[in-house]
Amino acid sequence: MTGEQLLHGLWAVLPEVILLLLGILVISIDLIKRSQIRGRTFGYVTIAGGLVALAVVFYQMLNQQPQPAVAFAGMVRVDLFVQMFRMMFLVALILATLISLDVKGLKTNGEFYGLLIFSTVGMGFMAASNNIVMLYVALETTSIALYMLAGFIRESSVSTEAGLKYFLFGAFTSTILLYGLSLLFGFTGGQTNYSEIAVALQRLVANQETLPALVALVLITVGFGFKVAAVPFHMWTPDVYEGAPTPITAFISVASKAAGFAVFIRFFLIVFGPLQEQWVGFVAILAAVTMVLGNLVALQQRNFKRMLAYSSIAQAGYLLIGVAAVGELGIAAILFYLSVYVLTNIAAFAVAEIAANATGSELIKDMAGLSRRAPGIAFALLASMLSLAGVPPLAGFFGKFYIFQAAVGYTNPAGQNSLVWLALLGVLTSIIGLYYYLVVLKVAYVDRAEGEDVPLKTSGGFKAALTITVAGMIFFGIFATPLYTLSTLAAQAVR
Amino acid sequence: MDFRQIVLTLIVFAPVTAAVIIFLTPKDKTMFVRVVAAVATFISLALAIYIFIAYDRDAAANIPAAEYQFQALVPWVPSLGISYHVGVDGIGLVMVLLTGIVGFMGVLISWNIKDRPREFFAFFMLLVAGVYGVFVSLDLFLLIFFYELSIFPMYILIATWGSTRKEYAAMKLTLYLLIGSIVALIGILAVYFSAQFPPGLLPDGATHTFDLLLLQQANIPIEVQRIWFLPIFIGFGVLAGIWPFHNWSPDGHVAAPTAVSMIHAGVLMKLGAFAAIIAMRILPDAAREQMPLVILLVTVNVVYGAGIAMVQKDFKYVIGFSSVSHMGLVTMGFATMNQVGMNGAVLQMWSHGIMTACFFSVVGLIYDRAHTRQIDELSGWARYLPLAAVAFIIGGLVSMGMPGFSGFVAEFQIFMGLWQGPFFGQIWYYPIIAILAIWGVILTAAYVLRIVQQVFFGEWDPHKWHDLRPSNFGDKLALITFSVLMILIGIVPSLLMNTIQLGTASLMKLLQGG
Repeated sequence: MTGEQLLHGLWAVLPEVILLLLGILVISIDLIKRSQIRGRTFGYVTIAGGLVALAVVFYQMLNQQPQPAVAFAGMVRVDLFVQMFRMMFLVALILATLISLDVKGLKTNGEFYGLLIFSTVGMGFMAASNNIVMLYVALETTSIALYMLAGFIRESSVSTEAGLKYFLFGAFTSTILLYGLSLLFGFTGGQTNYSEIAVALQRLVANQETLPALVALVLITVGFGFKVAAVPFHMWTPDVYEGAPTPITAFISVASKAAGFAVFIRFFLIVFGPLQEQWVGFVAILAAVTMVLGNLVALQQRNFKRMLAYSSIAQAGYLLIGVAAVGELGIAAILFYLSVYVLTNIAAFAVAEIAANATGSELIKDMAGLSRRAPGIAFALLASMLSLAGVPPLAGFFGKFYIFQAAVGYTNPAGQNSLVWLALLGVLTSIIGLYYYLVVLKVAYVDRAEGEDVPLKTSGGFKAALTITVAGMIFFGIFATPLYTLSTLAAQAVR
Repeated sequence: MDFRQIVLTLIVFAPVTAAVIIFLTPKDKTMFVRVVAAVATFISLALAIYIFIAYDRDAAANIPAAEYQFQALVPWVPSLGISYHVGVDGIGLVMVLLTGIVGFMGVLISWNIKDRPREFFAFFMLLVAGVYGVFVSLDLFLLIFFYELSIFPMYILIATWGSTRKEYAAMKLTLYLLIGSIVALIGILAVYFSAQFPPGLLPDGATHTFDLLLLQQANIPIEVQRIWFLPIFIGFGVLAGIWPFHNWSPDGHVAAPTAVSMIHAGVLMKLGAFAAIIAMRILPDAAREQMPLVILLVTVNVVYGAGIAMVQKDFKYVIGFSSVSHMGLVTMGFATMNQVGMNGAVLQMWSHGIMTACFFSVVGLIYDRAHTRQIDELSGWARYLPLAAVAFIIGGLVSMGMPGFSGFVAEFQIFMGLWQGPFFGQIWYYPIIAILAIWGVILTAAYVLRIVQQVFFGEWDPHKWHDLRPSNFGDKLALITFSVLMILIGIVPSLLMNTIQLGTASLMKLLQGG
């Protein structure tokens, strides 16, 4: 590799490089000066580094070449699609840091922020990976950091349990994924690069020898399904969401899911492109089951964080509709939906943490009187719940609309539309979703509680995070066009 | 920019601006909040009156495609053919005016709300803005946007400030209406993807559009029309209380606070009918085939709604079921498929809007003082609230369809339309439906007279009530306005009919395939 190629490669992955250095910096400060660090120093450093990386992403986007930047001998490929995911990861990192600034046990711990940053690095590489080896390494980098973060509060048994469960499920599914990848490797004659595997698969399809590839497809779906929390690989979600420290739950629920979808889309579209006819129906069924189960089980939850866990499973179902409606509309819809989802879900978890701090309980019914105690926080809750439910003028409305539009507009190679049923099912289940979101609002706005006249004090980190997220939800709910245009361009860049 | 282009936008965004200002106001500035709400709704009302006067009726009658006026068009999501396109025809115009009146009176009626007035008025403003938005939308996406925007504040308003099983009613209402609207949305998407346009109609590079005026000229395959007409029509029709999807409506009316009941029964249900006739506009071929089926459903509305209203014990439930019955007449008018019936339907929308708003404000006045709505327990209120009694009786006469009141003009035309039958040939059961539906009117007379006799006349016992206080200026202004309007339109229906005819004429032209 020449020096020029190396420079080119480093430029392509500069945001990840910056994050890596940032992570090392944070960990080193922690090692050397832990006893002297009080307050929010680690958090501020993380946010500053995240903002620098975000600025680099913007700069790269403005100077984006029409050709994707392929670097390190085809290991990574950076295009607009990747940039958009990087944006989501970095925004999620910054927001998650903001809401952890004042959480006891986290804020003065450099390791916490270091792990958070390292997992973001892994996500960046997941989105950018163009090679199955790279994919697996990136996936593990992300996951291992997240396992540790989920179990970060060692004194708490639920947190430890969450970490362990997440690890066991994660290790199990990632082994299955690895098995699927090795099958692909074997049956395509030792290829590791995405597009080369696709060429080899094309040959298999032409010879009608698709069975091994289909087995690999199913096994790989298990691995990705775990990352995006699709049914039936969702079992870990409620326990991990409930047990992990809330900022981490927020981060897992948005960034890790987004990373999962990044590889899901890339892999299915490019590697499994030749098998598209086979997997559209398969993914559609996965979407249907995920929406139905996620929404139905969410109905019965009493714990707010568990409810959000099932709601996030249901949201994965809607996103899978976009995957099934393969094509520009579907991918653009997913990108838009996920970008908005980052803001929405982090806002919801921030409110969950505030409420839990104030009342010492994570139950939905204990959020009673929130609107009287803290009208601003209650409004943020209102915005995030309605955005999740897809009600205008919040951004979630456009997200759902684009997804359903993609499903209704999908035509299979025979020229027929075979996904209207999925859109209708999505509609029905989203009504179920509306019910439990509204119940939360009812509790916050209508129900009365003792001490409801005591104003609730919230610290600056939460306020900043909620202001940013709510402003974003309303802004993208009215001026959806710029983000959607970007999503469309990114969707065009995938292939 | 030309004032005629921005006037509709101002009407919609005056309440939105008010909602934002109110949200940013400190908690204890109650008076300021009320004044902002009143000013905003008044501005919208004044502009609504302005456009009603300034609408160029000659042009609308004579120049093709000039019936939609005060148009403004700004691209919103150009790649998908979504735009901010507003404009009104004769039907929309009347509905905007109705919203203006009921919205402003709603603020006056709820002047003294005590629990968190800031939040109440902010959500109320959003609701009013959403309703205006639907009536002026000429883009189907925009229409859905405003339609759903007007539904969710209802949930918070009813659940928080309502009464009588409010949480149950609020949830039921929201779920029913959103299911309807999203099913309609899927239908609209199906139409959107299958519409084929004559060359040169769409802007360069576009293949699809949500623009209503363009979709009206599109060629939509008959199979698509047949599949999706009923989902769209009934999806929106849920909000117009079409049987068997009317169940949310009486519960919702009863549970809602007075101002919300007024907006809800007075205007919001019209929004359902208004959006449902969009299905007739874009899918005229299927409308000709399937509207004669819809009429069977709404006949049940008319008769059954009135019958149920008769046996209610709660004052407000009577009005709630009477709305189901009267809104049935509205849809029936559209289903007659001829211009006379449709004129009647639109006028019925107006007349029912004013009448129900009047009814609910009277019920609210009495309930605030008596703290009960059981008809058996109330009596002699004409002694204490004479103005309310007069307004209620006028409303009752409108409701019964007495000549000289707006309800007569409307219902008379609907029944005329039924006898006349669809423009493409009489259908054998239309006269039978007319005979059945007339029973609805007779039952209406029975329940209205029962209430008038029991609640307003009879013994007045001032010692029974502990919370008696005279009605304030706002209440009186609202009641007088409603009463005057009901009589005025009854005597000079041409004030509205001239405008309504322009709207129904263009609708008929679409249905006739030209």
